[in-house]
Amino acid sequence: MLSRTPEPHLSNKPGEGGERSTTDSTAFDARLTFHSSRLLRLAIGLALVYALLVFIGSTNVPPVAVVTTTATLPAGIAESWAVLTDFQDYPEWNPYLPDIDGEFAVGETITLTLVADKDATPIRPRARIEAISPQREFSWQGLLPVPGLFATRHVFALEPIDEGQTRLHHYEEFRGLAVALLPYDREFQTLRIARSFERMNDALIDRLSPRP
Amino acid sequence: MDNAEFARIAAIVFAVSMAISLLEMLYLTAISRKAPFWHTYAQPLKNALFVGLVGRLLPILGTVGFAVLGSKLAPLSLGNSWYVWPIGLLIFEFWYWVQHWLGHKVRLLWCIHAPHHAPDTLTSLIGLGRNIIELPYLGFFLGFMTALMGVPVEVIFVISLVDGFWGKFLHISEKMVPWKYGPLEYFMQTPAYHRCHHAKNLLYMDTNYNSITLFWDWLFGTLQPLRDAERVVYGITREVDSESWRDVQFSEFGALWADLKRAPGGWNKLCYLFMPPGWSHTGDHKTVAACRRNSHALADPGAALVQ
Repeated sequence: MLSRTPEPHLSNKPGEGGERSTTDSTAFDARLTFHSSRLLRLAIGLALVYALLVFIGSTNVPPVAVVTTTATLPAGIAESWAVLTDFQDYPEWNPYLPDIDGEFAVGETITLTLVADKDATPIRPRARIEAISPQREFSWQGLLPVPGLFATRHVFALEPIDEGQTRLHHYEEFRGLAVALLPYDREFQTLRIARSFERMNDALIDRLSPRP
Repeated sequence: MDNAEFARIAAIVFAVSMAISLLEMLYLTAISRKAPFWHTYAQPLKNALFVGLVGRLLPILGTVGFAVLGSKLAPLSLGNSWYVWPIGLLIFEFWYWVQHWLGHKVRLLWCIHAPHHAPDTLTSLIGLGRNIIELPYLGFFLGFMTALMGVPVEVIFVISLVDGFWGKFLHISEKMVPWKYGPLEYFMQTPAYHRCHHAKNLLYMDTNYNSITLFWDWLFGTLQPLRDAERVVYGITREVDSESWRDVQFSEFGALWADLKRAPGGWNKLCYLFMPPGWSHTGDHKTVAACRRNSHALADPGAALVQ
């Protein structure tokens, strides 16, 4: 097998560390050597993977899946906004999010109590309020220890119809590797999540309906 | 951008890079007479008859074709923000490093890649000497895999144009452009790095796999700057008749076939196909790693440096 046998006259420079070179090594060569620290390279590699995961979970990329619902609320935009953003009152009417612990302000971390399906055991995910446009839209992003695997963005957007009616766009965007790669029935899950959003939308309509 | 526009831009870039190569040819063989015409250009010219001149154009279009396929199957998209350009370059270069590393470390793939390394001279036309099987191989990694990771086709197209153009320039003859490139040497692959890559010196073999940046070579520990004291000797470690198209294109396949016939048992035959070039069933390995280990063992502290 001749293919890769080095020819005997070709030299090899062993041991970068112990080698004293006088003729070669411009300043540049000496600084950027073949054997940069493995630890440094590993750290940079891991930082890069982390940064890529953050990017994949960020709104810079289009969502992998979106669950969208809409509802017509029987109240003007000011009243609808007031009820929707009053987290203190959620236990009184909201079957999907019976409690939100935290302040309604941009950047605040909130703890949701979330009942995914009717009569399901509540889970308590954490989220950060991402943006608030008064009387128009607010959103929060789910917080998980590892970014870019399962990133959620939950949005409530209001649109005036007339003085007594408001359209609610209630949707959630899903991003991340787990959402993109794990095998699951996307159609079934979309329907399931949409149903739980609709439970909340219906309860909100009830809450806003004029009482007899 | 539609396919016709892709093709038009690729053709313009191709024409410009060919013009530079022709200038180089004119300078080397007619004006400075630093390189004998037939010895230097036998491979690109002979192989061009086989692959056709499109052999240089095809990798770019092939990459875009594979990228379109990959983007249809991609489980997620990385979007259209400006971030996708540096990230796309990083991912493209990652797959470039992977395919090139495999081309050097898997014997069967080395047979396909070796024609690019076999000639004992280096000019920017050496790309025309590539084995034709390498074109879809490159397209699969650079186009399909990059797109599968969510990089948009337009980004892949532009990066592969830059890669095609810069990659051609990396091979420019040292007799024409002998100098280094100052600050560029800190982060870009330059002809100085790529001369190391085409060398058969033990110090330089199997290094500098990337074609645009130094990043992945640095990260994976395959970066080797050119040293003034270690003069580059081009070629591969077997004797090659640089003017023989048959020898350059097919002798690695012949050597592999001979090893396969000689190897006892199926496992050894498999190892000859997939282990690095130089692997031997007798245990007397002549891989680059083994040769480096041996030469380091010879040069233990106190002993004279192996020259």
